[in-house]
Amino acid sequence: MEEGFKEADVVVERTYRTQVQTHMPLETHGVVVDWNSDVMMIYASTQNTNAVRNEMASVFNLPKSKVRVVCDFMGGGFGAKHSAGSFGPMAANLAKKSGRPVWLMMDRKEEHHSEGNRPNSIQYLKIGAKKDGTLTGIQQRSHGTAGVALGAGVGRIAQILYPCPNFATEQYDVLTNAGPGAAWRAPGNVQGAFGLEQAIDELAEKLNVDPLSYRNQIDKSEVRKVERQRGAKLFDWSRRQPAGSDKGIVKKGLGIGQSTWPRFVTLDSSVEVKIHNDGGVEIRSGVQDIGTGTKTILAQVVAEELGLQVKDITVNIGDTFFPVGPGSGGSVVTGSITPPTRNAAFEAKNALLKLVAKEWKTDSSELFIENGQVSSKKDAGLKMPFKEATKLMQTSQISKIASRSDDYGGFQQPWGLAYGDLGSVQFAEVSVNTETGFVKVDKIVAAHSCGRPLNIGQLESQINGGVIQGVSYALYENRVMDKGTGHMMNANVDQYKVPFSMEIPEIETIIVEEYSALSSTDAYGIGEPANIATAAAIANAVYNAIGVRLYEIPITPSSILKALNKVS
Amino acid sequence: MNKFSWYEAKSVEDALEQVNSTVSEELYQATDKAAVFKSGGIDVFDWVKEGLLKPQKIVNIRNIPDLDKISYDPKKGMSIGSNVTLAEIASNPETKNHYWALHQAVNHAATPQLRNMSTLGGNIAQRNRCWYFRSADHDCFRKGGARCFARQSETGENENHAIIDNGSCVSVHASSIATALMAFNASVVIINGKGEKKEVTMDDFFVTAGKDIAMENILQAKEIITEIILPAPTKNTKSAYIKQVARESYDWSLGDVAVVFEVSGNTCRSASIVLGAAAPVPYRSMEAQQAIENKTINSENAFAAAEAAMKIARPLAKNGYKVPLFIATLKQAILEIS
Amino acid sequence: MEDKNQDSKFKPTKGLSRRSFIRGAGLSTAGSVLLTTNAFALDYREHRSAGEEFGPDAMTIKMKVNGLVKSLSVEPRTTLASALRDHLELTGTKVGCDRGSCSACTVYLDGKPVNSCMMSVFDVADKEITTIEGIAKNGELHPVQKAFIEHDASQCGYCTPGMIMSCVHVVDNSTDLNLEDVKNATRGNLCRCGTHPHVFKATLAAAKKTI
Ligand SMILES: Cc1cc2nc3c(=O)[nH]c(=O)nc-3n(C[C@H](O)[C@H](O)[C@H](O)COP(=O)(O)OP(=O)(O)OC[C@H]3O[C@@H](n4cnc5c(N)ncnc54)[C@H](O)[C@@H]3O)c2cc1C
Ligand code: FES
Ligand code: FES
Repeated sequence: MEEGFKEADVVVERTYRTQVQTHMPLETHGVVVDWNSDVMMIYASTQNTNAVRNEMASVFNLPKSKVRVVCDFMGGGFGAKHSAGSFGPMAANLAKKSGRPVWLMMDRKEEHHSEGNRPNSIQYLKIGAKKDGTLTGIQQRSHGTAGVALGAGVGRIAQILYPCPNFATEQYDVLTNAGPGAAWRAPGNVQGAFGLEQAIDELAEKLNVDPLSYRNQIDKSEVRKVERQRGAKLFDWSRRQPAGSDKGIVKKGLGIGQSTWPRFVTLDSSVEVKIHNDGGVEIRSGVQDIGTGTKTILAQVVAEELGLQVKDITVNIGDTFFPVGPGSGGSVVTGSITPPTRNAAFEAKNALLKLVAKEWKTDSSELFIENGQVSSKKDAGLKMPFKEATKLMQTSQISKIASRSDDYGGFQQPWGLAYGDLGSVQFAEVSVNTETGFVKVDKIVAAHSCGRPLNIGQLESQINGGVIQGVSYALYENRVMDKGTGHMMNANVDQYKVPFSMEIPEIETIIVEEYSALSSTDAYGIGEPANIATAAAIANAVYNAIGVRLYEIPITPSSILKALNKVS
Repeated sequence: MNKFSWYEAKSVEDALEQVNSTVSEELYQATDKAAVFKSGGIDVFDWVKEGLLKPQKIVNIRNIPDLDKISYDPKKGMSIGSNVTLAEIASNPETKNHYWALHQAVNHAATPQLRNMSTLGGNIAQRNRCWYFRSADHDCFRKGGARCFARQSETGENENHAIIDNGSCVSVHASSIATALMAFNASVVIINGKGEKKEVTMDDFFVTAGKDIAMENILQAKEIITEIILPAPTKNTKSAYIKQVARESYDWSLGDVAVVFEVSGNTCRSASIVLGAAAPVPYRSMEAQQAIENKTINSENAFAAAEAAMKIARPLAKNGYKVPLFIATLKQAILEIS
Repeated sequence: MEDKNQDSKFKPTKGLSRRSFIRGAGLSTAGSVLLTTNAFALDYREHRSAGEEFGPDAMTIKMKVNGLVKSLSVEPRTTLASALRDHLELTGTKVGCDRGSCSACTVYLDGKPVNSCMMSVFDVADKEITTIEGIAKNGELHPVQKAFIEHDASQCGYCTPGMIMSCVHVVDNSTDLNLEDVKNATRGNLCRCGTHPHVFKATLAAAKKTI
């Protein structure tokens, strides 16, 4: 490490602070437990039916087969809803004792207090570079508290975003008597990016190069290179003026932030595709849809494979009585569950085509389904509607189950089930009122990659959501704790500030297709990548506007006015 | 929420007969025998949901006939019944034409949904939003406790709190509409249990924490607000209102100002300047008024008046930003008049 | 608890006063709730000459929801949100904050959006309630609802009913709707998932089609 800094011509050494952010899903945590029969029935607001099932089975010493968790819809989780919590067992005990179903949902205050948060961070960063910009050393030391839980690290982003020969990190968890932290959309990385991406900007400034050009130099990612190019064009990065040079009371500023997220895969991802003899097609899996649109993309994948319309497919998921599905965390769902879905549909289709081939006295490899019709490549005259084909079954259904296999050629990250990274670049435009201290995010351009885009509308939704939560993290939300009494003072919705309609910037998305041919869909998630770079891009833009850097979020009127020396 | 009965009051007299306490008294003493008024109910239900108010009876005055009238007379001014909703005030053309600052204040209060429910009487009588006061875990001065948690120098979370008159309780009044009403020299009509009617100015309606820690206004148990009266403006009356909030969509004020001037040309002849969220009650800044009266309305004089207003500010550990915020906001509001 | 039988038969008839058609509806079912138990709610104004006290225990009241008269047994502390969700099984109305600050619980009271979490069911009196379940007409979705689907304007969907109530109201009550109008109408609606950009787009698209 020391070597690295010895070689350096310029060094940036700073401490960055990020706040505690609670998840505040609009629907709180909770369950309904009905334990009247042999089977414990749990209706859960969860992003992991499988984990809730396993936890409850283990707490009550039941076989997993006697616990059924169902989640049809759930009102947001953002990482906090992977567990049965203490409310799950409580509700089950009450259900047992009372012989009645028990509804147990947290109220808003309990939700804020006890059901998860993104830990704070105090990050020390030291980055050195040679005159020509070559990075020589990155040193990171962080402290944070996840209350009574662990997990306050700031992620690997400082280690991997920009390759550097010398890297050292120490990340400490400080235990405090406060509500437990939980995974929160790209845990660690959102905090880490806030520090790293500001430090890189500061380094660029010391080197006298444009922060975007500097990233072109030190960032080895091909996809982010494309994202920077396309993003800079759409955003018109060339408008950017030197920091603090905007005249007037309200100053405009432009900033950039980057991120990376691994392409994680969960092998516990299985799907059953059924073709019924009435023409119906059904998908079943334990995987839940937490609002990301999993149901829709599963239907899309099967519809495409079977030559049908999305509306022809019934999606029954979120039930642990179905084949096991992945938890919705780590942005694993799309990359994990769509390949087996396609594979199961493929198998089911082949089974059906065999029946038709037998009927037509031909070989099934010559048959295909398109627009709801089974047809033959050889004989254009042969046609049979899909529904009619299903009547050829002697049984009532064809059922095929497939599970996620390793990536083609094996997983390529030494430390886990993943390949490569999902890169993103975000651009922020802000206005800062230098008299009142108010900051407004006017525009974000978000350029992302996620393998094969399956549904553009839903991708946009996820990116919008990640960006808006990033805006919120940068400017608004903050758990306020009274240090004397240890109580959270703003455990409600009006004083735990998050953006509403007027705070929403104009958001433009760019989706860069990047294929790796490692699975049968080549599609990956976007939920977490969308949330990582925003706060950093905003902080860089605020600096560009007022010429004074803020090392702490949330950036508030108070912190801006202090930075401008207007508070005595 | 505790169980309570519901009394549908038919008339003002009927309501006054039923009621035996005020929300403020109950928050201070916590009896559980109270019968209190409820109009829009937003604030009353808030307290009941927090478990800090346990009424035995809620006297619903929302449907009493004639308390929901709004009228304007060029000579007498405007009368707004206590049950008129904020939405009704916002959409009233006379308010917009003659009381611009009030129109602005109402439009920037709460959310569209809440404005459809909240009444003007309830709005000016609502209690403050200090998070210690609203927390069952903090027994503060206003609830009969021995401490103001917000002003503790090491631990107090006082970013939203008072910078003026913050010697005892440091909360700020919740009504941002009251700021505008006071600037228009509005008065409140109150009827008591004996049927006596009185009219008090907004300046006299509010009670500082130093005077009575349990109260934020003069309302006693058997007293009901029936209307709020705004004097008629002249053709030289000009007004402006600006509210600063952390979140524009809807939020409690961090600092709001209402300015009502009598002008001749571009000169201010007489000024009424009120600051909201600066002190425990809406605060009339005599200093700013004096500074701008008989002066040309320009940037320099506006700034001088704004600075004068902040002379007496004594910020707490975390709300020093309110001083430059008020200076910028008041300056801007005064300039909007020119 | 609610009188489903009566609900299904309830058909407003032109020409009758509200009072008489409610009476009529009451009489048409055995053991009319309206005439036998206390008469709070729909016709309370007409019954009362002096003030009246109700509760604190549960009692049967009537209210008009989505065009149907419902009877339900509630206490004065029962919020309208709870009455709808827990008593009438109209669970489309959501409760997010329970304090008037997220608008997930938005319903219309005589056509105006209000927060059903912050009012007692006794506040409804003779006013008409419209919930998200009452927005589609004869099985046909409102243009705003269709546009929400088309523009992927919901993620987890928990804010969506309240959001739609705000957007339908502004679409149905304005001409020449612009982005600012939609933003103003949804100022009180929290969406933690961040669907706003699509909500704005969908609502503007719906407005164009309906004008
Ligand atoms: C999330 C949120 C945001 C808000 N934002 C703002 C804001 O920005 N600005 C602002 O000004 N307000 C704001 N409010 C306040 C709100 O708009 C209401 O005005 C307020 O809560 C009370 O009005 P109400 O009619 O519901 O009163 P109620 O709750 O019915 O009554 C309030 C108090 O007044 C008493 N009372 C009511 N009517 C009378 C009467 N006629 N005579 C005597 N006593 C009476 C009651 O006993 C009670 O103590 C906000 C509220 C919420 C929940
Ligand atoms: S639940 Fe009623 S406003 Fe949030
Ligand atoms: S879609 Fe989840 S809260 Fe709006």
